[in-house]
Amino acid sequence: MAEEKHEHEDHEADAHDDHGHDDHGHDDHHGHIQLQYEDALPIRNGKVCLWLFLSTEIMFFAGLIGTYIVLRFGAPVGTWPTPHDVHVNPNVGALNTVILIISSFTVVLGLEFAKADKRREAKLAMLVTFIFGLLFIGIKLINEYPAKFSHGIYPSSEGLIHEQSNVYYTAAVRDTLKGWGAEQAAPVAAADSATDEAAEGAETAPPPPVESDVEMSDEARSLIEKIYYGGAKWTEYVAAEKPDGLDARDTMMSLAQIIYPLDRNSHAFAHYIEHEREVIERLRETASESPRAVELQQLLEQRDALLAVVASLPKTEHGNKGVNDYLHEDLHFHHIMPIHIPSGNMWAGTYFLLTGFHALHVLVGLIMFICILLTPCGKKEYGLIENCGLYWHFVDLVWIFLFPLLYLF
Amino acid sequence: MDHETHDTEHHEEHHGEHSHLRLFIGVAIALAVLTGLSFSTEFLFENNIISKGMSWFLMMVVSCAKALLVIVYFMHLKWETNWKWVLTIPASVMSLFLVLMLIPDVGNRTNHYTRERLDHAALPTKPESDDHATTHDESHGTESDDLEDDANH
Repeated sequence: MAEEKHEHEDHEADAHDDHGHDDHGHDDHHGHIQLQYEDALPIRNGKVCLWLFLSTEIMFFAGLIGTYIVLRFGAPVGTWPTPHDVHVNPNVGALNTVILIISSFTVVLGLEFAKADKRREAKLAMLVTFIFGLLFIGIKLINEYPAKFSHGIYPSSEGLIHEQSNVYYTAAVRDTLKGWGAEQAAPVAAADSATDEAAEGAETAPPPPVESDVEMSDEARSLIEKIYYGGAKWTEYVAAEKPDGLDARDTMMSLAQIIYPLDRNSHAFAHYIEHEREVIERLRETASESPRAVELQQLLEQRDALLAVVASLPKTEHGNKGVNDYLHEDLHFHHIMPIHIPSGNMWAGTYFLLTGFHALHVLVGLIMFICILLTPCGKKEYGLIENCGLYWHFVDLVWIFLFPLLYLF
Repeated sequence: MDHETHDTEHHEEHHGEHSHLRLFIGVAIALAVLTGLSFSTEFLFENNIISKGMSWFLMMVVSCAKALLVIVYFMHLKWETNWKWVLTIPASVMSLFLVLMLIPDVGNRTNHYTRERLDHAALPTKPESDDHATTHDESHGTESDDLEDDANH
């Protein structure tokens, strides 16, 4: 059964060996003699190795993809980020899919040309493959990864992504803003800490203003101060006063939503902002007799100013633009406030691991294509091109599963 | 018997060599069309024609079809002899086995979260379609539960 194949492969091997072609000129009719020399497998050694390697690769990527699936569907229900939440663009993913399919096709073409010893055509096909591979990596590095990095989405144990918009998140935002010097210039700062002291009878002096070398425009500074007082400090005030347990949670959600809007929270945010006046009334009632009333009044002014700014931010299809985006894109401020993305850390971990390993494989493929392009790409290189082609198809194969899983699920 | 097989394969190989190019073009076009199909299931979901689960299922079916096309034609497994099964079947079985092994402790991990772990786990975002009033009431319930739990804790 394997004879015919063997014969064909053997013929390929001849090209590499120093055997004369004459000896094998009519081996078509001597298959039974050839069998004496048959290898364990009726294919070239290089191809055996490549296929062995590919079978380990199947398990490697099946492990990665399987882990992703299990982690993704085992995540707390309803928390996995939508593509929009994490700046995944399915159109770009689809474009990359088509690029890889075309490059796979041109590899096959190159192989066919090499078999027929059409060197120029084979070389051209390999060149096109190389260019398409480069295009794939280019789109990844220029468009896809920076889109995540610029929003603070990357895998890190000390990253900016918070799983919940809770008191820890609020504190992280407050500390970040303080680190940028948001507290310094604000007139409310002194009064704020003074009332705090009075209210809580704190023995310690208020912490000195944080020195910061973060440079920013006046507009950015004013916005950052508004977020500090009207966002973080206000949220902490509400959380501490707890006029109603719900208010504390909703204010924290609104802070996260102002900084980095999530699709699914936009409705709840609009609803909360509409009803915030009621919360404020309740807070006023409870604060009227306490020294914190002064602080409340000051925070409220900043809160109104912040909400006015947020409402004036450019509209997106999912509501107003986030303050992080506005600072970054419009005010050219290159620091990012902590963001709230449920399961965002797990998402970043799996996304960058999967696409990163895939991109690494694409890079290796590109190096192989450079090596092929340095050869004449004739019949002699058939085996080389076939091996590289098999590897490249495997890379394509992995992407076929990654695309829907990462971009469309 | 052997000779018969030999002849048929020989014939196929020859036949194949002539029509491979057209076949490969066909496969490439099929792959592009299938990619479009993956996209259209997303479209069907967004227009509420099919459920999210159905759309996922269809996408995976399309992906498997694409993978098969690549393996069978582009990777030439159609024309390889029986050794292909020796390499591909164990690898596939082990991959599947690995994933199945992950389900009990990783996939179902939230079932066994401690109270403390749950407190720090990601909270579901609120679905957009929910009615304001119900969201408020429901979340009120969970919030007070949480507070009680916190107190007990």
